[in-house]
Amino acid sequence: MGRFILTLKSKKAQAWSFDLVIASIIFIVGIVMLYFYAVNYTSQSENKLDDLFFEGNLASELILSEDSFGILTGNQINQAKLDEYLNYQQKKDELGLTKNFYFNIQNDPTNYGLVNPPDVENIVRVIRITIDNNKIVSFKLYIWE
Amino acid sequence: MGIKKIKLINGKRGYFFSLDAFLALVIIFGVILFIKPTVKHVDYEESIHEDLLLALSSVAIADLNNSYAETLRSSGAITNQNQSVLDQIGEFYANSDTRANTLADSILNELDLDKNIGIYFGDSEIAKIEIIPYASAETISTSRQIISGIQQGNATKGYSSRAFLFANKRVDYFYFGGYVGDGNISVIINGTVLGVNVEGVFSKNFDVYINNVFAGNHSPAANIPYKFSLADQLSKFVPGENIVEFRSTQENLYVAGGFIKVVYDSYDINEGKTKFFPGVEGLINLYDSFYVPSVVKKMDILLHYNSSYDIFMTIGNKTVYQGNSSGSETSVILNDSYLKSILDTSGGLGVIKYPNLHDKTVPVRIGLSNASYYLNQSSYVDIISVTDISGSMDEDKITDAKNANIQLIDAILNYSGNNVGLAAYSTWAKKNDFHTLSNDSTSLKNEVNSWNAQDYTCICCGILKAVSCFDKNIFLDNFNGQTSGSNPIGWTIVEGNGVIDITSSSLEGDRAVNISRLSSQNPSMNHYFPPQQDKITTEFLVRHNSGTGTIRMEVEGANDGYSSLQDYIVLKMYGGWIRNVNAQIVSYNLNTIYKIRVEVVPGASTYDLYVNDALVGDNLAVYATRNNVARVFFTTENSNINYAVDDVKVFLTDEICDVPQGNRNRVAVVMSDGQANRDCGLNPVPDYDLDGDTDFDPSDQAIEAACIAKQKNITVHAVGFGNTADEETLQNIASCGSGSYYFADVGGLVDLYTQIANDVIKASYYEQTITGEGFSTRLYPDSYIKLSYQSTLPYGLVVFTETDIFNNPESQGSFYIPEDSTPYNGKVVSYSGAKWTSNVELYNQSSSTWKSFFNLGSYGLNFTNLGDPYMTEIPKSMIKTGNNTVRVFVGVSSSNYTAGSIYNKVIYSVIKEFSAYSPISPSADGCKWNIEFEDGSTIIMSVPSNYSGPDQCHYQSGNMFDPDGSTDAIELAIFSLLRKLDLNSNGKIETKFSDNDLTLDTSEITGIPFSWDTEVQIRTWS
Repeated sequence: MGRFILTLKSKKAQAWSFDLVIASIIFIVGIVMLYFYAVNYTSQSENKLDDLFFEGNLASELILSEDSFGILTGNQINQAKLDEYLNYQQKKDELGLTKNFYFNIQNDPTNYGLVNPPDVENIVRVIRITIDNNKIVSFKLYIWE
Repeated sequence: MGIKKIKLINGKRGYFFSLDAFLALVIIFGVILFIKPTVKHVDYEESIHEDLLLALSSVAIADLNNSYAETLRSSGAITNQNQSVLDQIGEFYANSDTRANTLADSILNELDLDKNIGIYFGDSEIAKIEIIPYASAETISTSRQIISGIQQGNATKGYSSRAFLFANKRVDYFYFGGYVGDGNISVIINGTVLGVNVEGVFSKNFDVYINNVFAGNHSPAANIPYKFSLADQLSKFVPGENIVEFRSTQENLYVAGGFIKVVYDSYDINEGKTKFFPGVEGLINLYDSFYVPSVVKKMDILLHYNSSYDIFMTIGNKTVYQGNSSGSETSVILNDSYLKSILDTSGGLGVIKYPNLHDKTVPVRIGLSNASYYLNQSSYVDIISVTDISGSMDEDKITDAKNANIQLIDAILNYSGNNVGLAAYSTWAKKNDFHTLSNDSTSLKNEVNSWNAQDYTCICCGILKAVSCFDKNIFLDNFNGQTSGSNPIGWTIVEGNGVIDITSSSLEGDRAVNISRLSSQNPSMNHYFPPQQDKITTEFLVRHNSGTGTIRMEVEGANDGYSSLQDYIVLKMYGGWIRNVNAQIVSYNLNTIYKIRVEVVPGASTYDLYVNDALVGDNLAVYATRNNVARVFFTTENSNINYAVDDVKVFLTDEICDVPQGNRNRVAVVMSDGQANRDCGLNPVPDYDLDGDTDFDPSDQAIEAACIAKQKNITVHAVGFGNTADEETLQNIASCGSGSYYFADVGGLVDLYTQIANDVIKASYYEQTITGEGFSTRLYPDSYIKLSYQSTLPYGLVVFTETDIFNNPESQGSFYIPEDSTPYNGKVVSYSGAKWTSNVELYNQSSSTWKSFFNLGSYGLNFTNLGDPYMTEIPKSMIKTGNNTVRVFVGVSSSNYTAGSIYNKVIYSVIKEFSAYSPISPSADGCKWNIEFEDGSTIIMSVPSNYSGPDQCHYQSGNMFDPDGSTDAIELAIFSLLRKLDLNSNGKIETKFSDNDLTLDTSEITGIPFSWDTEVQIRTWS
């Protein structure tokens, strides 16, 4: 019994010290990992947003154009051309977009494009103004990865 | 047990911090993961300001789907349904109308746009939606657009006016040739005629007939272009073919150049490919020309004539026809192939060839070939040398003059049949300085050698002395045609307390002069003339109408200095007696016409008196002896009286020259070394020298004397001698006398007189006028040359313009082609009289040389066989924009020519788009314009023609419209157009509208935005 007691007495402080060292290492490593994670995550997010801004702007320009893939005729929305966006995939291919999108027009309850967007990390909304049936209306396009 | 617990406890304690740290990290990661969003929304709205600007600009206000816009439309507030929403907002803004804000607000509010956005005009906010205040914005994006016609406080729309000249009438010219004669002359005018003006040099009085109906008589001055209008005779014209005839009751009328300007009822450029010749009934003697502007494709000639004698026709120097019709009417057609065969033949100098007919004035001659002896016969010369022997001619000059006259005598008398007369003059032309026409050279030379230089210079006295050699009449006045109730023309009148008026109660003809003494002062009238020293007759009609006073009639003489006039013969009528002074000669009755004639030899102390052609007083004593007769004088004496005088004649009782009969060439050579400073009583005369002096101006009277000489068929040449000679007057003398002007310095007069003598001798052979009796030939006015060539109708308005007459001895003049005009043609008019237009030149500014475009001498023939252009066309390629200067020479041969007439001018036309635009202006009402033309005339015209407002506008030198003070588009457009037409910017318009039947008109466009502008901004901010 005595030996056991003596043994305990001689290693008690070392155990606590060692534990503290280990804990510190763990904590520091964790913090460092968190730091790098945070830094990398922010940069990655910004890149993704830039892509979305670019492609959102491009998409709105293409959609609000009088070309074959656009929805305008005579600076006004052409309902027939607009309805073609109900076939989302075909239009997306025509536009050559890599991102998913949908848009809606003021006073028109319909969302055109990928109408049920999944929960995604980033969605960019591009707001434009156009003319629909001689009314000046807003045009909102949502685009995501 | 206890030990195990201790171990257990010790072991837990050893992991406690590590576990704690681990848990802490887990918690931190957990929290991070928990708070990290699963979906991130980022708005992107970079272009909405641009989109809104585009949308507002794209939608018409009439179409805008907006509740407030609908309200505006239904309320009628929208005046221009087609303008954009942005323009409509701008219009409201410009008019400070708050509806600009309301409309913009409404549009923004109806936008589902939770963004900061605003509409601004310049610095003015029109409407905005702000989530955060604009003032605290960190970033602002702006789209801009300039909209014109918008400026706050100013109208947005205005008027623009276009002013233009237009012609709905056609102006065309029929040109006579250089010489058309000799006989009655006719011209065909085709179309519906609205106006006819004639200008030409006519050799005699003539009557005009239109379609064989009398249309007035005319008495043109000799050798001066005579102008008249047939405006009051238009009813005699019919649509279609009309014939205008110029008939003379005297024989052998000719027109030495001229034109008929005709205004037709439609505007159409008619190049006139068919050139009709004027008709001649008498002696066919036509000198003409034609001009073709491009290569001739086809040419046909019709000669419709009647002649027992051969007629010939030459084109250039080629005779294309010779034949006669044996006294019956015939038409000869010279067709194209025939003319080609004739004109393509080779030949000598200047041969006209068919392919080269274009771009040159080609002379054409039609004449009587078997009457050639009239042309080539030596017409003898009767020449009077009129020599200045005034005081300035002393020493060397008088010696030169004497030697020159002696040379002239020898040269002229070298040809038998010729005569020379001498008329030297100083203060007047005295009998002892005169020698009648003679071929006695010794007598003539003795006369020359007796001359002495002294006193003043009365050139007209010398010329009239020469005239009196051929015509006994000194002074005639029958008062006919003068205005009743006015003073008689040309007399010196002193009415005193009386009245001297023209009356229709004539003693012959249609007018006389009534002289009434009404109170103590006696009325008088007199007329003087060059002193006469040969037996002279004074004759007049007189009628004592009422009153007990005395009729006093005087024949007066001048003193030696021709400075005062004194009674020579005094006749009186009173108490029922015609008296020599107061001595009763023969009785008379009241209200009875008596013809009284007095004959006296100046210097004699007696005279003969005739009443009603009966000698009633033989060798009556004169009042006082004088050595000349120079004035007639009518007055009253004693008591009130009324009498009439008519048909006053003063003439030489006997011929002073023995003028041979027959075809003779009458010539006067007038020499002077100085200014004319004594007059000879010719009154009134035109202001020939344009010095403004018309009151007994010696220079004008000298020129008038030359004109009178020409009327007596005397050709007057003039010679300036020495550097003090009045060359201008002498040149005008030569011009009006249809002669040539020469100049010689001291020492050169002898040679010059030799040359003049030679010229005169040549001219007596070769001038254009022919005479003959028993000829009856006729060229009909439907004779023509028909030319087919490529012609292009010009675009724009062709405006004809005439320059003023050259009016200089060099016969040199200029015309101006504006920079913004295209020359269409230019024709140099040459009044060559009985000579030929021999050379016409254009000054080449780049080479500073004269370049000839017409040279009659190049045809290498005697001029009598060649045509003579009245109108010489300048090749279009030679006409430049800016100033073009031409000069004309006339002559009788290629080596004998002088400068052309002072009456020459240029008729030219330009093609121009005569229009001008106004700036955008608030109104377009018009104005009544007062416009001054270059010739000083003015016109008042309302523009537009129905303008009846009060505005008066002026385009006149010294009274100029101020464009800065006008807001009327029509006024500004007209002003701009007038400035274009004012080619030399002197406030006078060059293009006289009436000459081209032009008028001003305008068209307006309304609703034009003003040029001022405002920047529209759409701003977004965050």
